[in-house]
Amino acid sequence: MNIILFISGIADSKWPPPTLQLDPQAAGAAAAAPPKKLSPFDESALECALKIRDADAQTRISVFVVGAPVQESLLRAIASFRLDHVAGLTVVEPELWDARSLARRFGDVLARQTETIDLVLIGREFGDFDDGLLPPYLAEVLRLPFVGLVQEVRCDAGEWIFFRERGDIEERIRVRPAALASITNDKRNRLRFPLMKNIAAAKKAAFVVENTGPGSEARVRLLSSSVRTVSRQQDGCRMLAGSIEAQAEELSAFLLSRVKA
Amino acid sequence: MESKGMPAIHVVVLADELDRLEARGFVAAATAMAVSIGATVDALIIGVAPGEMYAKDAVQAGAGRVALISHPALMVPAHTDQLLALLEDVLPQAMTPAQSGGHVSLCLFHADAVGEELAARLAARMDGTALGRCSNIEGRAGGLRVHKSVFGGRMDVALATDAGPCFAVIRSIKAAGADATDDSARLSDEAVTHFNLDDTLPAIGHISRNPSQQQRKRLEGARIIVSGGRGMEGPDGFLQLQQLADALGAALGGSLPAVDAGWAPVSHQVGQSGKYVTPELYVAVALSGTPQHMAGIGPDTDIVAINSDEGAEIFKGAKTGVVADWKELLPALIRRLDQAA
Repeated sequence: MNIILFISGIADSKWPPPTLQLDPQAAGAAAAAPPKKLSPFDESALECALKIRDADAQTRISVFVVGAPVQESLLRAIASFRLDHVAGLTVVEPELWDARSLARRFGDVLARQTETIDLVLIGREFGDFDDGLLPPYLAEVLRLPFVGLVQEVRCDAGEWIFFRERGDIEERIRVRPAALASITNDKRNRLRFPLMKNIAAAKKAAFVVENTGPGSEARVRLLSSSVRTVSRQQDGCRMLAGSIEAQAEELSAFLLSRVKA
Repeated sequence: MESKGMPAIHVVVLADELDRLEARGFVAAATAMAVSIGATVDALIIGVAPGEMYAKDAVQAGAGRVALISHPALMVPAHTDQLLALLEDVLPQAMTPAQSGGHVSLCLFHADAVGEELAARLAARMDGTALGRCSNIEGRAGGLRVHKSVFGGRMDVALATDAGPCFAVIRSIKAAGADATDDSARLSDEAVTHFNLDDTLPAIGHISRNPSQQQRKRLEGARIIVSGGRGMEGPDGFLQLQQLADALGAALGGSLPAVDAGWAPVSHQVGQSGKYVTPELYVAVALSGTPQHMAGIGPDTDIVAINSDEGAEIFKGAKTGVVADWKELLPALIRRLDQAA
């Protein structure tokens, strides 16, 4: 089976959010970008692919790391899982606002692949700007069946089985390849640690970063941005003091009053 | 649904996914946006057999017209491929530039996983623009201005588009008079159109469904939510949280790290990447209060924070706080609540 992943990473929240470019032609803002790390959903998607490979050593995993620009540290972190192919894909910032533009760009990349694609995996949210649009949009562009918010993937008799929870229901969806799934976080797909020898190999690896220039024109553009700093509680927090027993007494009385209100 | 005069925003209400209060708040939120855009609201209420009360709620929340669409073969919970097939029959005709009076046409879904998927896939199929989860949408010359959060709720942005049709998801608001819908009110025949469909619906692959081993109270619509974070240290901590939730008649939620660790199911994750919740009271235990988590809690919710770190960010957002080790406080608290029951 041949699996493709698209990974964006997210800005490390230990750093302040970056300055966003209102003018796409402006230079310099990219240099101020904070370091990126894998998002929880990137990690889950990667672990799902690794588990499929654990079960079938013939499985090939290719990862495209997407960024404006692509950060080398992210490429190396991903390569340390001994994948078959890791490459960068540079996009321009306006594309990150527009699922249509990004999905078309990814569609072009996949159309150039010479091997049959059996599964495309993406975290349920793609990077810092997406809130779950890109995976289903890309599935439509690629005309692939889409299964969202998947927690586990297995291959059985040449077909994919996707597992997910929806409220109090557990779903098991069997789909013939090829398919596209968005992966959400779950204890079953917590990313493993890479082996030290593979980390060392990734440090020496060279990567191809594709920069094909502007994709299809983004239909969404940035007007303004502001860092959120305002605390939601303007009146201050009423702290309950005293011993544990005194705190429990006061808190239980407060909670009961709210239950009965 | 033919348009006359002002452009119409189309609001898709999935009656089998939302309870009446949520649905009413969703239409009310859409109506508030429609006013700023200078549009009216057309509600499409879809379900296996959506009751007429959903149509009454929609009209009272501001919808000008309602299409009540029933199909007995729809799966519950929703199967998006089925819904796409229904919506593809309706929306392309309703969202043409001519129908929109030359304005950018807009279709809204409720902000949840099903709504987000439908909005994105319809945008792709209709070569439209997917706007995602928006906190507000306004009209601007020749297009729309949308407001949303990025960087895990750490930054707010305003975006512009003039390329329709547009598809977005929005959250419900607490509708004015939300508890007082008059079920006995009569709806005019002009306001509501019934569509009873029975054509074959598509499906992808083979789906099998089983009840989850643990039945849990839903976060959606809960008055009180008890929620835990990484500081709960393990599943045993969440068992105590469940006891507290039971004592309060509350639903149980968790942060992303708690879900990652398997202490809470992903369907109960609260935050930017999980559920957006609007309970009256949110009891946050051993939660640090990251922007990503706080972005999932409604602004009108009162937060009670329990954390052993007096410098934890959660206290900045809380109305009531207790600096204490939950391992000491929760047993004492649960004991008192049980005694009072």
